Amino acid sequence: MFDRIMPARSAIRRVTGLVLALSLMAGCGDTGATSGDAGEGNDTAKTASKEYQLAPLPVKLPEPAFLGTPAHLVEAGLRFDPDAPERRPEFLAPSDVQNVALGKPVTSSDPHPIIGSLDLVTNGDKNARDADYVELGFGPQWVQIDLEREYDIYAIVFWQRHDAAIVYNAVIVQVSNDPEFKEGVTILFNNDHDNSAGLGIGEDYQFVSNHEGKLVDAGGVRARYFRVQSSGNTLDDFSHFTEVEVWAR
Amino acid sequence: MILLIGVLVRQNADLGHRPMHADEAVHAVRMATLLEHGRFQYDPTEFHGPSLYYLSYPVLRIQGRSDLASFQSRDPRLIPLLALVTLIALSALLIDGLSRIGVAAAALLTATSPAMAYYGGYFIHELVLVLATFLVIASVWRYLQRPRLRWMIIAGLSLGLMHATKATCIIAWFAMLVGLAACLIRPSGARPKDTVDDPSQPTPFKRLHVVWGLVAAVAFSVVLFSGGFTHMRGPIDSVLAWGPYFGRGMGTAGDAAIHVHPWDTYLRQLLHWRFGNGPIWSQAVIVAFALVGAAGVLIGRRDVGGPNPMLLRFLAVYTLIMLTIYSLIPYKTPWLVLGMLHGMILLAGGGVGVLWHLLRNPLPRVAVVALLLAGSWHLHTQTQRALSPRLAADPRNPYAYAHTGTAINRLEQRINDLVQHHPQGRDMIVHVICENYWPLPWYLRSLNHVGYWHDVAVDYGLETDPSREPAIILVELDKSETVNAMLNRPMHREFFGLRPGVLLMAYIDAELWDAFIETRR
Repeated sequence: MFDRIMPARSAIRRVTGLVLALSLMAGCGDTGATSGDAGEGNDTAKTASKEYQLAPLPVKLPEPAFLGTPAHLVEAGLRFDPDAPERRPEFLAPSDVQNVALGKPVTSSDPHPIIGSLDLVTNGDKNARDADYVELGFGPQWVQIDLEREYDIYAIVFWQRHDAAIVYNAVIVQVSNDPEFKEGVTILFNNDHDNSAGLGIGEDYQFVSNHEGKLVDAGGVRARYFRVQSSGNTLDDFSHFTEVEVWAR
Repeated sequence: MILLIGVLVRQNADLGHRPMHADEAVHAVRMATLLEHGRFQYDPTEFHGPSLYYLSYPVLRIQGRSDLASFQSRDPRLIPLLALVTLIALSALLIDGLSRIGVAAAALLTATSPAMAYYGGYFIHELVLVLATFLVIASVWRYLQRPRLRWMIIAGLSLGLMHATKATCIIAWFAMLVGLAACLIRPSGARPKDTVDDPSQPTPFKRLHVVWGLVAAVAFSVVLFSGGFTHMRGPIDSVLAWGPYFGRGMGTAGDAAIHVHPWDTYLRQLLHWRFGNGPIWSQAVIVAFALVGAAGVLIGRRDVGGPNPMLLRFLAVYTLIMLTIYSLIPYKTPWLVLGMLHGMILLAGGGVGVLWHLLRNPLPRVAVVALLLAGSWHLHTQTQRALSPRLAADPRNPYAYAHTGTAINRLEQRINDLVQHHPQGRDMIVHVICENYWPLPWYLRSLNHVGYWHDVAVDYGLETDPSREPAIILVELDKSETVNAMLNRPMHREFFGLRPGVLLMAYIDAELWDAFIETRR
């Protein structure tokens, strides 16, 4: 009743994995069977013709690290989305997806961060330690990952600072095959509800950054470049990125 | 010295960019009461003494400020900056005690110290207390050089000013008394002739002068605490205030427990401080020269023209007592370091003077000056960092303590934007529900109808006259669930941050939000 600007999109996302499973099952006949690999070089047609098993996304979560912060902040943050469960449910994706962002090159709107370095974003370390995040400057700032070829992307999980109860402003997740993000851009997540970043009014929920990271359903979109941005947070004017995982095949 | 003051003023040129700390906001709002109503009533349980407000009064009047809404954050911050500039300029009062180069070094270290510069733009009492304390020390020193009544009167007025600034002045008084006693102790085995002939021995105080000094101290304090004899309870309360402040110092009164920190906090702040992955902070150069100054008590000799060993002994004991007491008191905030730090800086100046007069050859002297300049440059770079927009309010800055986050600017901007779209403009109703809502009264000062509660006290589910419904409700996050359950009308929600660990949920009237967001499409 009070979420008039928040559509049911988030609830739809939560069942996307299930829908994906059902649709793949319906389209492929022998449910649960796997055939062929999903390695490099597969084109879309081949991919579509194959059968897949679905499995929970194998995201390894870091230790919770709300140092000295009451747990109610996390809970209250989750409750901001009235339908959000206590913990994020498992997300189903094709069983052969991998984190294709691991070790891939990272660029940024702030190429010279004062604290941390851009390689931290894809180094596999998502802990809340201070040395594990990169801090970007004032205003809207993004990090971009070149996956080095096109992938079918099913889920994106990213961690910003999660050592305290922080909410980042104007979080936008995009993918494209254009490294400049001028053409063929797909916005997967946007909670910039006042259009401060100028990419359009976002209708996704704000969220408290925590150890689970933020999972965004990419729905199998095919792209080479990934970009996530924010514009300050509830503590200061900076953006921080600890780790980004792009689960794709 | 003029150059130093110029540098100091320049690096504090943008006094307004840093968000207002909750304490600054409290003082600014109380200051506005004095401006608007012309009187001040002392509260012994909170807020410290009235000196900050009375010193601010003419400065703000000159700037044309007459009420809270007309304030800018830089306005009240001019007062501590002026106190710091005065502190540097008056270093010269000790020129025959620390030597010329010693005074120059003390002025240089005061101007470049990041702690001094940071709190030089902070509307709290601490630098006024440091200045008043220095005035007591310097005027008594001048009196000892030439016992004129005027110096004792200035010392007395400064004592009164200390009392009218902060209850913690009692710590500095105790440290000064112990320091003075240490100076009067005659070295064992010394013959009476030694002390008579030693020009470093203090001239005896004249009883009448001391009495006049004490009268000046009491009179000045009474005038300030009573608001010019309009609130005679004030002077009595100023003495009774030591009770509550003792409880606070022990970390047992009110919310003092959140300010309880380990005994070595100030030492770490002075020597080596690092929070998380932030930069390293250190004022070790001051500590190092101060140690040399303390050693100068033993090796300093008046006959070679160096710093006066008696003054060095006083400063060493005074600083040590200050450091010890403040370290033992569980309640700690980083600005409390300023008192002991300034003692250290004066002692460090003495240390430079000792080295200068001990090392007769040009090369070692050049090395001493080079070391001083290099150390000062190191301090200056930290000052620039501490005052930079990036770290001025950041927890990685040791001087930004529980500081309001820069994100508060976003909230202020949002409310100013919404005011433009509300039919009642600045008369729109805003409710704030937060355990510690400061500094929001500062940031919402331009609105005419803001209500503050520590807990949810209004039933937002009741049908009321729409014109009396709040357009915005700012709720501390752990209380937002109660408000959520009550609301019976659509409201937009968004998060805002107040300070580390304190998140606010803003409920904004849906029609108001729609009107605003139409301009953002």
